[in-house]
Amino acid sequence: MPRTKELIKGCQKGDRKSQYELYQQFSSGMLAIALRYSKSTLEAEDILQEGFIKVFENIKKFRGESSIGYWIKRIIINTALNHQRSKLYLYPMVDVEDLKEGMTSMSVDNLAVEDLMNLIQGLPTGCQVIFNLYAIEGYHHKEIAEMLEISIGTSKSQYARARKILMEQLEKQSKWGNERFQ
Amino acid sequence: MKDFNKDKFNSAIERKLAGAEVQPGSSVWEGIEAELLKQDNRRMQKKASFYRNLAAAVIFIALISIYFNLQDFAYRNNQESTFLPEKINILEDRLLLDRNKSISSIPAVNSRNKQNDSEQIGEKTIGNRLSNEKSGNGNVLIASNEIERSNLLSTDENALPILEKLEIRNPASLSELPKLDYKIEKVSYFAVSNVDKVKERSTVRWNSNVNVGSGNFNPNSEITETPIFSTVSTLNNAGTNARTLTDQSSATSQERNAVEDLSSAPMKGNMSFTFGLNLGVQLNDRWNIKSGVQYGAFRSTSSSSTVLRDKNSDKLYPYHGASSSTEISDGRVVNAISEYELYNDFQIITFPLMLSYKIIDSKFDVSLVGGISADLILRNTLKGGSQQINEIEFNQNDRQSYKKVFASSIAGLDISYPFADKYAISIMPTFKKALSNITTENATFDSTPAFLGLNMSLTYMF
Repeated sequence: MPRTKELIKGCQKGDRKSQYELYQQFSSGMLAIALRYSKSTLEAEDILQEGFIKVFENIKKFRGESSIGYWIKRIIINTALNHQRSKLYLYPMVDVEDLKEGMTSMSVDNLAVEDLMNLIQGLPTGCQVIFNLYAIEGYHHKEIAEMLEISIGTSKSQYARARKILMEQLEKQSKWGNERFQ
Repeated sequence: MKDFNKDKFNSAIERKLAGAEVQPGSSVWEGIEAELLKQDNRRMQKKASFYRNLAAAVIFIALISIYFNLQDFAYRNNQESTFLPEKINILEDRLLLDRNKSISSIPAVNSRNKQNDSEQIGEKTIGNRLSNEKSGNGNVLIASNEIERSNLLSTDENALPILEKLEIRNPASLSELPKLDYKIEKVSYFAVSNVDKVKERSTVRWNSNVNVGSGNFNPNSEITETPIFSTVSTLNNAGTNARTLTDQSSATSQERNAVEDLSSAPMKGNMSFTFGLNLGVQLNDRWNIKSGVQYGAFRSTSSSSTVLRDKNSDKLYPYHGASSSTEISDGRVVNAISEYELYNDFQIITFPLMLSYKIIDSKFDVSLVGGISADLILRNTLKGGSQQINEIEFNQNDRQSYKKVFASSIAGLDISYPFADKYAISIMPTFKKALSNITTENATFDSTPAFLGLNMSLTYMF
């Protein structure tokens, strides 16, 4: 932790070595986040690059009220949202459907991280972003609606759609796995 | 605002993705660094612009000072050459004798045009002024010269004490002036600033000065030529194995052209810093000769999209066609990468010999300075603006593009302000240029570095 503080101070002074070390410390975690909000690694790397440039531009404003990791994560997510914002309305909205309660966390637990990431990346852009914000980042629909300037209903419907697609995919994979081992 | 009411499905996904890490490619940091470098450069340009404006302001003020000094100089020359003694006509103050028999004076307003009129009026009224000019409150108006000349004075009962006082006010000669009995400790600078300096002709005086300076250094803005030794290196993509080509096929030629395009951006001057110590001899009141030692850290910049890759260590080194051609060896190849900023840093020790001629000797002394210098390159390094690119130091004789020692000419204008009898501060805009090409036989380009700077110095005169 003291080392991270030194790095932050170095970055605030514009020291390139500190900037590089801070990047090295957080870039892989942040790329995993950027991947969830993008369709490809290339796009995620663009988000990461743009996000870290914003981090170094604004690090003088960082007061240490939250952890540096959380602060960088917020910037990466905001950058990702800006990237995806134009695509959010390209997909038709669906009604909220009854969610299948039968699917348990077991299906997710059996899945590799890369596969789960691929499933999330495979979601339509609009519901992918909302699913990330609601299911993983923990925002309320009201907050998501304000962030993305959409209605609460749209946020709910997009989340439901994402969840439905994911569960269908997981079910398929589960069936495929079972058939394979029978 | 976390929502803690999520179901097991969401929790499972969150748990699964928590702490997930994916290593980004090296191009991401290169892109970040390139953007940060651009921002740094923009900031540097703003700073440089500020210092340029400051230097321009200093020079402007100096020029204004020189102008006014010249005016003063011309005036005094004119005074010395065409001085004619002129009789000064002074109208006497008018004296007021009040009821308490004390004298007050009313200053006379002197005007050349009205002088004759006043004299005429004086002659006409001289006989009856004292007797007739009585104010309403009993005061008597008189003129001091009239009092001495007028016989009427003796008829007035107030005249004797007045006369006694007037004799004190108007002594017969300067030697009779009463002397002050206290010591004068300080005299205002402004009170004596126009007093001519005592000229000490043909007097040799020693002086020494310390100076600091800043300026713009450029090894050569024209060196954009990119020599490629096709027998030992060729362009290839980063990360792939190097190929060594000896033929002059069209493919090789295309690659060579590509390298030239990628690594031959012009070298641009950048901010530099100098400081030093000089010892001088003032031969007479005009000529001064000085010599000493100066240290300078000079930087020039360029951009490049190529690096040298060491095949054995896989380390990357900066590459600029004109500056680092001699670094190419059997173990190194040229790789194309994204554009980066490249810095060529020189550390130079200079031994100048300068002769100055004072053209203005006034409050601000202005001298023309000319001279030569021997310059010794202590260090010549090439740095890339990236952590991944290592620094190259040109410390081996067979890899040096520049000669270790070279000669330069110096020209400048020294504007100094003497103070406290033995000190002077000065600013000196300087232009310095190498007398000839300073590159070695190894280099395939010519270079005659130029330096434009502003020196500030403090001189002590023994």
